[in-house]
Amino acid sequence: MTHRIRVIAFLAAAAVAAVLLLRGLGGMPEFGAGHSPYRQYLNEHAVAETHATDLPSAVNFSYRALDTLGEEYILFASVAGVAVLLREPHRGKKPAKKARVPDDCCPEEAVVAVSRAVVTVVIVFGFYVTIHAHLTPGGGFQGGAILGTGILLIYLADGHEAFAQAIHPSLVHALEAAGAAGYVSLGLAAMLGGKAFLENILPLGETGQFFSAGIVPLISLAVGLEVSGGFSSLFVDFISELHRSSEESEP
Amino acid sequence: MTHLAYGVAAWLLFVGLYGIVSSRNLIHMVICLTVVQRSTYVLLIAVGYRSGAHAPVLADLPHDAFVVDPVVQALALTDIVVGATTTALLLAMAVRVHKLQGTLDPSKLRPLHNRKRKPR
Repeated sequence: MTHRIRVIAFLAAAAVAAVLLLRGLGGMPEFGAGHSPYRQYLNEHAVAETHATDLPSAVNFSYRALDTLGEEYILFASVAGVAVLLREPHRGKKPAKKARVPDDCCPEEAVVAVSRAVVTVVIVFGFYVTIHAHLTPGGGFQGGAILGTGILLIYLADGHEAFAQAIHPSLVHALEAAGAAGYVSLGLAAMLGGKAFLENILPLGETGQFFSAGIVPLISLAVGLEVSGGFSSLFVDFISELHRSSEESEP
Repeated sequence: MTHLAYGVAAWLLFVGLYGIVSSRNLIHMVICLTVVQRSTYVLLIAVGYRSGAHAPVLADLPHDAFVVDPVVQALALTDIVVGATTTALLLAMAVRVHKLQGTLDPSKLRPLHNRKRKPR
């Protein structure tokens, strides 16, 4: 099928789909009406039931914690897939000649200075966002992404070698494994206590305090470790791939 | 104008699909797929929006304050992060394809078993 025929066939199909979709969207509730029964229930009961003041976190890590577990494992599987695709099968042949990668990609001094200055702040902020999931906007997913950014800043500031030294692959894998195992363990711990999987087993505490909301901040921490470990694992794989191919292409 | 947000979602969906269909580069195709994904976020957030309501964070608000739908926000935020890793997976596939076939143009891809016979 040539390019032109494919585009024409798509446009014809899209025209039909667009008519149906726009008709369907026309029957949606007016923008800003938002009368979902779940919204109403959570608005009235979520704080009393979970003692968490950040409602999206209460939804993610309490009401639909089981779904979030599934989503975390999508992430886990994707990261594993990238590792399978990008890692070379011959493990014994480590590129011994590190100096062969030319440093013509040296970043600007300003980039180096700013990256070095903010990297610790970013990592601390990532932990803050992760463990305050139940109180303020944030949670494991956002915090994990911030932590991953912090780790990537090391590469941005100091290049591949420093990155490979600072971020050892086993550290990354330990982070990811701790996140994945921690989440499931929290669920199984509830079952050991005779409750349902991922049901809250800890005291709910006083709403608004750091030690409150039961297992919500703990699940968030597990997700944060998983996401940061997963993102770092992606960086490690892609960056080593980049440097391997630049070595191969060199004469 | 009350349905503009839904229109934006539909527009992103079809623009992204057009990009996928007409793409001549696998990386471009992956980015178009993320545009399609973003249309679902616009739709979700639009469905949950409530005029005059607060953000669903009650730390500094009375606990019965009126908030927008937190469910759709929770759905969108998990998907943004999970979607980033699935995008990485697709890009890794593009890297492998380029290594095996020497091209990123989907119309120039050949079945893998034919490739083995051809000396490169």
